[in-house]
Amino acid sequence: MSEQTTTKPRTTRAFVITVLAVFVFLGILAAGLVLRRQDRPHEGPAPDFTLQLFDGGTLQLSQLRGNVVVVNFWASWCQPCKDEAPDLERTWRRYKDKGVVFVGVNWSDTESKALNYIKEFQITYPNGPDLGRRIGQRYRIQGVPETFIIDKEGNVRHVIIRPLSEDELTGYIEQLLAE
Amino acid sequence: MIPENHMSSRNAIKPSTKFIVSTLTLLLILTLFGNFIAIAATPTPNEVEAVARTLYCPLCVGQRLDACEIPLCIDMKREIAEQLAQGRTPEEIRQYFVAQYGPVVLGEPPRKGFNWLAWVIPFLVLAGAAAFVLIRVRQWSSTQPATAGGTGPEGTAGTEPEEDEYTRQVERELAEWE
Repeated sequence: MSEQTTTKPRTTRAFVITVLAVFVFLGILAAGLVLRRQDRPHEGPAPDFTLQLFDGGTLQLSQLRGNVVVVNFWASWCQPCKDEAPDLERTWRRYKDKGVVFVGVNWSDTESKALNYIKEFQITYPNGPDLGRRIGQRYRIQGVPETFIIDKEGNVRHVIIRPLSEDELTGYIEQLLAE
Repeated sequence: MIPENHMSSRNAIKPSTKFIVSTLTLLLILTLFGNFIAIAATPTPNEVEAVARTLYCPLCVGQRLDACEIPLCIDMKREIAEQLAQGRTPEEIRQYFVAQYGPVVLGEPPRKGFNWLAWVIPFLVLAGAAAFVLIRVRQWSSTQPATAGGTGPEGTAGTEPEEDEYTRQVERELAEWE
């Protein structure tokens, strides 16, 4: 009898501990899933970042406040990026003296290929690699091309997850410049 | 007899010829040596693959770099070959790719901060499960002699009285059916 009375509470305690451990484990898993489900920033302050540029300098997004900023994520292996590259460059050249800044973030690429791409499409706006893919993580991008258009106050206003045309981009920029 | 002025003109040509010959020889040696260095520095496919085998595609899920053929993986393998040719060690190359693409290229979570849970939890669960099994086995083995009723016929050894009662009831009901 005494054996049974001592083993029963012990078994119950082990059961409670096991159940608690399972719940803690499931809680961690759920937290991970919730964090993963977080979407791209569609509005509100654009996550700040510092970009090491291919030409040697650095660029900090928060220092561009007061300009309309077009942040474009791209990669040299991405065909849709190649499709939109001439349109982006043409639009940049048209607006670069009108309070608009383009920033190219090279995502998941090799430096030599990225430099060849920049040369091939004669891209002149600031470009740099997303080292450690930290900027992509902050913007929760899923692939390339993805473009975030930020207003003069530093808020994300448009997120475009496909290649952009010059006309479409012009429309977004004109709207934000007029505000 | 060779006239003196002829002698002097021949002597004057000699140093320039020597200079040209020695320069050409030096160039030839340098070219050969350069080629030799280039050949020696070119990594073999096996060397490239050995490094690629320790890395993972940053765009795929759990795909090792040596078995990946998407454009980025091909570029990464080319980069490995170039860096090996420059004399970088495999560990330096791995660190370069971690800096470029993040720890995802290592195929395992980095052992710091919150990520430690991923390393610790499986061992904790395993240890917990082992402890649980051990405790249960010890409990079972300690209670076994007390409840065992000796060796009876037809495998009834160690059966609980409730089980006997249950068996008897089943037999009674079966008999009623018959």
